[in-house]
Amino acid sequence: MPMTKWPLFITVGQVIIFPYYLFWLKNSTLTFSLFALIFALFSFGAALGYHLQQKWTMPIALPIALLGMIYMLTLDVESLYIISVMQVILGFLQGYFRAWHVGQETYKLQVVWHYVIVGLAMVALSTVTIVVPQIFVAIYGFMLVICAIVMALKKCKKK
Amino acid sequence: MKRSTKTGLLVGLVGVMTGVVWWQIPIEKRTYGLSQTAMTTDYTGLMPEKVAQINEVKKREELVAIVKEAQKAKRTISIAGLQHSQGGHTYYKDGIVIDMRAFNRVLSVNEQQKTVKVEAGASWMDVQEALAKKGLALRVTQSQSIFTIGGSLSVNAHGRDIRYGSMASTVRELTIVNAQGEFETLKRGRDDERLQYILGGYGLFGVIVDVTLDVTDNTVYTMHTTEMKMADYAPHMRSILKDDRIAMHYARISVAPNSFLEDVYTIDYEKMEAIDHTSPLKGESSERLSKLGLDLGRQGGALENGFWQLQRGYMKLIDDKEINRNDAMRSESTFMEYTKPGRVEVLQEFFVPLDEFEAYVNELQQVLPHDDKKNDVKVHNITLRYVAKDDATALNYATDDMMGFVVLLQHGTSEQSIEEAKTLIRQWTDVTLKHEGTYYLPYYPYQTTDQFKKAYPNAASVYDEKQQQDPDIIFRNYFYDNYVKHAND
Ligand SMILES: Cc1cc2nc3c(=O)[nH]c(=O)nc-3n(C[C@H](O)[C@H](O)[C@H](O)COP(=O)(O)OP(=O)(O)OC[C@H]3O[C@@H](n4cnc5c(N)ncnc54)[C@H](O)[C@@H]3O)c2cc1C
Repeated sequence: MPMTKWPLFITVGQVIIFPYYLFWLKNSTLTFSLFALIFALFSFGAALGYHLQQKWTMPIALPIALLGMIYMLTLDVESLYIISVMQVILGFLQGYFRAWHVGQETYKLQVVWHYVIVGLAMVALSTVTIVVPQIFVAIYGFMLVICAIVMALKKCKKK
Repeated sequence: MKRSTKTGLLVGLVGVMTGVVWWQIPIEKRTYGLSQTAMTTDYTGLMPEKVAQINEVKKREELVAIVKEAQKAKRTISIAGLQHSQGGHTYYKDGIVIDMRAFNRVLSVNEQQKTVKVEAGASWMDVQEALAKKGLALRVTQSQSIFTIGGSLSVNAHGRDIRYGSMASTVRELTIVNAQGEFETLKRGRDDERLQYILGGYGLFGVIVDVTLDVTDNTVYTMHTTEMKMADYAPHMRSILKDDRIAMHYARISVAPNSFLEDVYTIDYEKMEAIDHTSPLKGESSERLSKLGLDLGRQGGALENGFWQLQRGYMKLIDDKEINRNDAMRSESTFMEYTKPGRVEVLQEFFVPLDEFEAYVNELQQVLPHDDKKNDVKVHNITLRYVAKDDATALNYATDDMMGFVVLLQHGTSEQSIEEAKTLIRQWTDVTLKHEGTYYLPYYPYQTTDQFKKAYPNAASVYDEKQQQDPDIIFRNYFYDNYVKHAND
């Protein structure tokens, strides 16, 4: 895949996987109010990530790999205390990634495709019965980590 | 807005919100207990059973009436305190359960003689409330105060005290309702022969109605915490036993993969001059932080290593801090609650003579998995305690001065998982028996009858005494069926 297409894969993937992630989160948080609060945590984390991307930059492969690892952790984590910390990190990384993506030349072009692909994927997924949502989330996480490694390698080669 | 102010605000927002979320996370609470309409369980919920009738007792005469009624109706009676026992010790299929929790008055505190008289359904919390006001404290109790007096005496519990011997030996006098439905008062020194079956008798020799216990001063202690290698622990223990200033002690041995059964930290309580007459009893504190730590440990692997480091850090923080005796006997308990469906956390306790400590741990290192992250049975914690030789009970786990290994384990609740837990615990018990050790009986009966008989050579005499005192086996529970009944097989 050319370097410019990676962000599309990541944003589309994030949206597709998010319902499963939410499903897992709702199961883990037991009550709606706690679920909502933990979600607020995600949002504030994202605001911080977006804001800080404009100040400090790191190779984009790093936040992508970290995102992947957090998604993979859903397989193993039960403690609400740990989940709440995961939420902050996840929000932060997504905010950071978004801020980076917006700055890319291809962003506007990809937004249209993003919505179309997400719509089609969700239609396809509506036919699948999900028993353990975190398996999907973790597979996606794994793909992100691979993706980050390939991105980093390609970048090194280019240099 | 300046950029740095914005960053600060956002970081603050995330921090505050994390605090709010942590505050909102409910402290888990196990649902278990007596039920007339649904299944009755104890603390682990592992052995649900339907009982016929639950009688909450408020007056002593009601106990007599229940025993007589049971005799007539040919029903069994089980006795329940706060049900922290874990192997069906407090109920029996289609039987009557006596719920002792409302029978909980502290009847008198004698400051001159240093005794307390209390109804058996009272919890240690109730007793501590009464004693603390008079500058007094218990001699022997568990490390937490969430148990009834009757339940604790019936298992002959132990805790952090290293000077007063067994809990049973602190009983001056007690009243029971026996299997014939009569009150009997038994005194230390006069009725030791009978008392040895009731204390540590798991509710099989009558209902304990009230008890007079020896108590002591609510002395102020300084806590000394020390880190050491496992091989240095037994010498440390011997040296504090010789040092009269040390009144209480416990230790933890690492179960983290990178220091498994190698690193130990100890907490010794040194007597100060002062006796505390005024401080209110301490409540639960930092339960969320403790829960977070334990949750990290439960993840196993690197996080369990992290949890051990956290505990070491905490120990350094409390070094040289003061605490009174009552507070040292009422540790936090809510943070330990664990309620994941399909999994359960249970306790086991093994005792070995102090002289065997090092050889025993060396052998355990060969037998137990150092990293159980991927296993179904996981060991989360081992606390070490000293348990003095006991001559006051027939089902005696401290046949010598012993070190107790209190083990917190987690496993699944499916049949296969329970079988896996049995395999591991039976192996562990074999190693314990090989080192002249025993194991504690209030917990789930993972062990075999053979192991029980080896650990408790007196079991046959307990069986005989039971047949003599209660030939119709009116007082019955699953402890009787799982263990005592087979003592003569
Ligand atoms: C989290 C936890 C921590 C623990 N810590 C310790 C510890 O530090 N040290 C230790 O030694 N043990 C410890 N235990 C074990 C505990 O001490 C025993 O299980 C104790 O019996 C609990 O008291 P209870 O009131 O819950 O008794 P229950 O479980 O209600 O009863 C225990 C036994 O006593 C009998 N019984 C109860 N009341 C009476 C009565 N009035 N007359 C006659 N028989 C009666 C019951 O029939 C039963 O056989 C712990 C257990 C848990 C779950």
